[in-house]
Amino acid sequence: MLLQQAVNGLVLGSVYALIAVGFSLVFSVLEIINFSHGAMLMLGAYFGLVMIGALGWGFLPAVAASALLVAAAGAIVERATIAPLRRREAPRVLALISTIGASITLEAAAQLVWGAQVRGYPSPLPPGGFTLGAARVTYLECAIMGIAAVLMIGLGLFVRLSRTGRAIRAIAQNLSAARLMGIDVERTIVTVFAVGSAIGAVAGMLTGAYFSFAQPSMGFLPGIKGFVAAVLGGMGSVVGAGLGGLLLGVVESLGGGLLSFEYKDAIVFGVLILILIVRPSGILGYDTGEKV
Amino acid sequence: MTAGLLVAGAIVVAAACPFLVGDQYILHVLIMWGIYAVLTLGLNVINGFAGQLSIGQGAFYGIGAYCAAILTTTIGWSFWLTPPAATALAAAVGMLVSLPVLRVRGIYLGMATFGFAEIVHVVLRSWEGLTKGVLGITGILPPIAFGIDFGTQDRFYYLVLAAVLLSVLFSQRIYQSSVGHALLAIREDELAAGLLGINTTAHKVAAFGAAAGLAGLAGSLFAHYLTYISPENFTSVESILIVTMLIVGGRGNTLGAVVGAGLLVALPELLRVVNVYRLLIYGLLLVGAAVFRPDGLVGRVGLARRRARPGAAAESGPVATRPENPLLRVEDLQVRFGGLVALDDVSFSVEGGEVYGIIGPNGAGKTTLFNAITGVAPVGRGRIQLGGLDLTGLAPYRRARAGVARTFQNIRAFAGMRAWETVEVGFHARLRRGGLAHLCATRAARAEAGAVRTAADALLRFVGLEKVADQLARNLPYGHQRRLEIARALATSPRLLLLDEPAAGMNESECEELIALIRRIRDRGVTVLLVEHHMQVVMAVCDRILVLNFGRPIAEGPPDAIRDDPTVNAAYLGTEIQSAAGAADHA
Amino acid sequence: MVGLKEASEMRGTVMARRTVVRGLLGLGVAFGCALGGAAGASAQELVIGVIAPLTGSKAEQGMQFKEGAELAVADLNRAGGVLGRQLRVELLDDEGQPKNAAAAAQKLAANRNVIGVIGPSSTASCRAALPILERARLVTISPSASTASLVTDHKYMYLMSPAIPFYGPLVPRFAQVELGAKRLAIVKVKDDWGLGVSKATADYARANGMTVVAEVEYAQGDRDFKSQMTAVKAQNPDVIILNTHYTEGAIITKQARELGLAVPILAQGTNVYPQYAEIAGSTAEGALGWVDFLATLDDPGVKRAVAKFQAAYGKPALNYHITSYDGVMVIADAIKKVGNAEDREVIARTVGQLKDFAGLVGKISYDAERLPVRDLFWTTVKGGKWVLYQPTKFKM
Repeated sequence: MLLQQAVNGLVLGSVYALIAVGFSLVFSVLEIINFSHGAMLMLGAYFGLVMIGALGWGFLPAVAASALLVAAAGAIVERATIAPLRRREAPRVLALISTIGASITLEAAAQLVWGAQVRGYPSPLPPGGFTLGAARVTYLECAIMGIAAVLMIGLGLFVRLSRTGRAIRAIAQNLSAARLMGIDVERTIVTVFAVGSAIGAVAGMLTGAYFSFAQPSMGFLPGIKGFVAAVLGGMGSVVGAGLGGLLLGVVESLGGGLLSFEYKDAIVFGVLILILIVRPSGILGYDTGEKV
Repeated sequence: MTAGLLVAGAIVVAAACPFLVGDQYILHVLIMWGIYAVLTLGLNVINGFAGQLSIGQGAFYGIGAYCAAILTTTIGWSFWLTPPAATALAAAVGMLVSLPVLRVRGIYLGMATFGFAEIVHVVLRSWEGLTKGVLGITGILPPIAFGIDFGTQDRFYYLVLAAVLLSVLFSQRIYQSSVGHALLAIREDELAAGLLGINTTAHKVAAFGAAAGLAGLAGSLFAHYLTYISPENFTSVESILIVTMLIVGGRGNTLGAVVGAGLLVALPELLRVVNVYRLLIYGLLLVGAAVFRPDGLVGRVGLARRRARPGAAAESGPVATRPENPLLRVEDLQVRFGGLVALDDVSFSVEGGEVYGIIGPNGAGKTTLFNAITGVAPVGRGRIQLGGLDLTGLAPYRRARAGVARTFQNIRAFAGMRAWETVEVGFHARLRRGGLAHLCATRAARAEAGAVRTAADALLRFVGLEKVADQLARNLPYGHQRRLEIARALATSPRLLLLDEPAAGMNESECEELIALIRRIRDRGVTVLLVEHHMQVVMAVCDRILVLNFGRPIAEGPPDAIRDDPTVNAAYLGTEIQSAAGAADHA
Repeated sequence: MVGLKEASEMRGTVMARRTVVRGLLGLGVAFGCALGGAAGASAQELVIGVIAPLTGSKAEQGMQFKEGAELAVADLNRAGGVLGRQLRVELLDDEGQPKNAAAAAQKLAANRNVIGVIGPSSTASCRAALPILERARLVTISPSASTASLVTDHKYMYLMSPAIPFYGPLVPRFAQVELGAKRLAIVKVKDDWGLGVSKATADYARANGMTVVAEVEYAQGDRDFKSQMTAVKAQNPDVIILNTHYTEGAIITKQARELGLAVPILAQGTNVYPQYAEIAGSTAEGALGWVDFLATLDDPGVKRAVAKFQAAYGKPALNYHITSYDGVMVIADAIKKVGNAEDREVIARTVGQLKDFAGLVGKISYDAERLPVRDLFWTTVKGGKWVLYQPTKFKM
């Protein structure tokens, strides 16, 4: 039973990690929380659903197309709700409000377009699985963990090796210095939103496939969980987001299974608070401290 | 004057509302406005004043509501006891929680408080023995007293109105008193506030308690109003809503909190007309509010603050103290950051009444030395003594209270505070009356506030800023901000003043003014420790100079000796010090 | 320089103040309009208030309330209205939150043309709204709530869906008689309804020689139940009873099967929705459940209702379409019997005396405890659809 709970936790955790990395990337460049990220998940899931259901595409082409569309949506949200704040030099906490607004708007729009009802979600793989010791693992779960791992590693390499990645890290260190060094800060920020949203879209489609449904409000809770994972791992770190996601998934699963289903969320947030008290910037977040 | 009229008018209109609007539904919306106004006013104390992001206000709201509900339904307490109990319980829990959690800052603090709110929600849902779990508590009695049933809407309205007025008064008292000054200082720059001798932890904990207490009060009102509560009323969504109200209204602003709450309570109701497009439009309006009014509808800097009347017993400027010898003694100091040794083998002592210069090339460890003396940098080895008192190991604010004050290399004036506020907050550690006395504006506290004002005005004159006393620090030119920092430091009435590159960016005539200012400070009996690159200034004011290079002292002596010291010249590659010394000779 | 800044700051303050004043004025005007709108409406028009979650995660339910009630009002108006007066639906979104339900109730209570209320959806929202509606003496019919104490506590309140005391014991009895089960596992949603129905299930089971070997719960909105189902599997139950809503019920079914739990699944009516079969896919096959209405059932009343909603909205009807439609009809019927729309107390009492009212699908009556008596069907999932199931041993 322990093994089964751990496996369950890892599957959930890899989805959380994908969501977390979107928060984390945005935070690293702008130090804001993008509350509309959950809505990106939902959009990704619905775009995918339309392509698979109405257009009859395969799952993988649908993932790619949906990711592209949501990347555009993410870029638009950045331009419409966050860039103006930057221009006006508004305090960062304002981004919380404008992105909450964006998220409410997107959710309401989705309900108007696709209806409020819960829709079934197709699975890319036939049902079934295999037994691993005392645990059962489905093929879909394997695929989810695989896709998540590939994306996380790819993103890590992108941030580490690519030109844009270098720009992202430079901005994370010091935005105005990066601008003075000739980095196209605005373009990089839009790229960050697009990439984060695209990965969020994939996470949305995987969530849809894993739980087999889509609904306008489906992004909210996973969004919060992803955010918790990002904080847990340490904002601004791709590895941290991965670690935070997996840890959150496992704590949730084991805490629920071994201690109490009722207090599952309390356990999760209790662990979060403890970790923050010991490491105020998350597990892998570096404490910037204060320069005097 | 006009502000007073406006407030009075608002109260009259508010009191007349039940007669003006016969509609129970509008009264209901007004009551909810009142309840959220109290919640948002609470959040304003911790977030608006003290600058700490809390997304956990919903937790204390819930604690207050359940406290009131359980006390009335199980023990049968009357309404008149439950709000105070709910307020006290929520405040106590708030302070208890804040102790560990306030270690965490910024967005991480937001997350930790959010997490706490989630935990409270789960407990409300699951602790069935106490809270009846998801079933919620029904049959909460509406308030009845003196044979009057306050359960009807128009009467309950007055209870809520009273609570709002009380909260507004409380909020304004904080804002206008020394406690508020200290909170604003923490918001603007926690480290600098601590170095003024403000016990930042205690203030943040108290602010958290106040915020939680008001939320508890709002919760008790909500419970008695709805007469039925369930955990669904106190979710994380609620906490986020309250944050939204405050930001949309205007942080740090009492009026903003009230307006923000009103707007976000009324808006969804007004938008009922547009039916299914309601949330769509609501969301767009939120985006618009954030983008077009980033400082909130009312703005961040709120109603101008009333200043205390000048006091009779006024001290003027820093008080001259008897010179102590030696005043500062640094022995065998070592500071390391991980593997990097920033300071090593540093020993020196400073006589009372001296101006003691510390120079050295960039990276020599000058600012680190200041940080070690003020308690900002960790001391690895060695001792720092001030007039016989061992400072090593004391918290920064305690060192400040012992008589150490400083300015900063990168200006850390409190950007969002007015010049006079900035200086007054410097007096904080010397106040004899406690925060509570100042909150309640007792006669003694009022006298003290008046004295502080007089003294602050004197200090502003002393540094030549009396004409810009009402300006926000962020609007002052660079040189003014530096002088404001000096005035703020002097307000703590230090025995030892640490000036970190006060002449940076100044032209020659400004440097002359600075030299004169430093001499006047010394003449008042304040010992000065000066880190400076402008050799003109150093050579002109310093009695003795210590030269640091790569974290170690390489020379010490009077200006003339230092100028001719070959080791020093080697360290400076012979250029800077010679030419500057030449300039000083001409002067 | 300084002077300029001072001036600009002062202007800022003045402008801010102006904005506030303007904002407050705007608020006042808007309120005035809202008020005027209510008063200016035709005095002849009768209003049916609908309090429903039209947005948020329960929006689907709310839309059924809306569509059902609107269709009923349209039908009534086409037939000449009630007592010669036309009807109108006033729609109030409570987002599924109790405090908003209270605000909505307040708004309805303030409008003298309101004659009855359809909603709110959940037990918690009902509890928040009912004291207010009761003070206004408005008869209230919830299309979805099934907690009996709502009715016992509030004399203007009625249910339209079957009540827990009625169907609560039904499921374990079915498990015992039809499936021969002895060891039950109960999965419940942690809300007012989930706890109530689970208690009824467990009480009946224990009193009749069965054991409840596992009773696990989840919070509304949870999406991962593998840890719960892993725990259930370890207890080796004969049958799993789903005291859940359909989205969660379907995911639970799917995850239970994925974990290799192959025992029969017995679901409350809240799961008997097309989406259940759609979400759970092939894992839904063979699941059993009772229902009061299902569009795919082979029954003349059902077919008539389905055709009606198909014509009006171009989509198949769901449970609460029917209960909301019937709710409006029941209120209208009571008003017609009373002969005026003003005597609210009598209207509410008259609703309680309803006997064999011809509802959209079957007959509706209220029993001595003012709880609804309705015909139920047993169904099972076959080929991805809920279809009628004929019990071999079990008798209603």
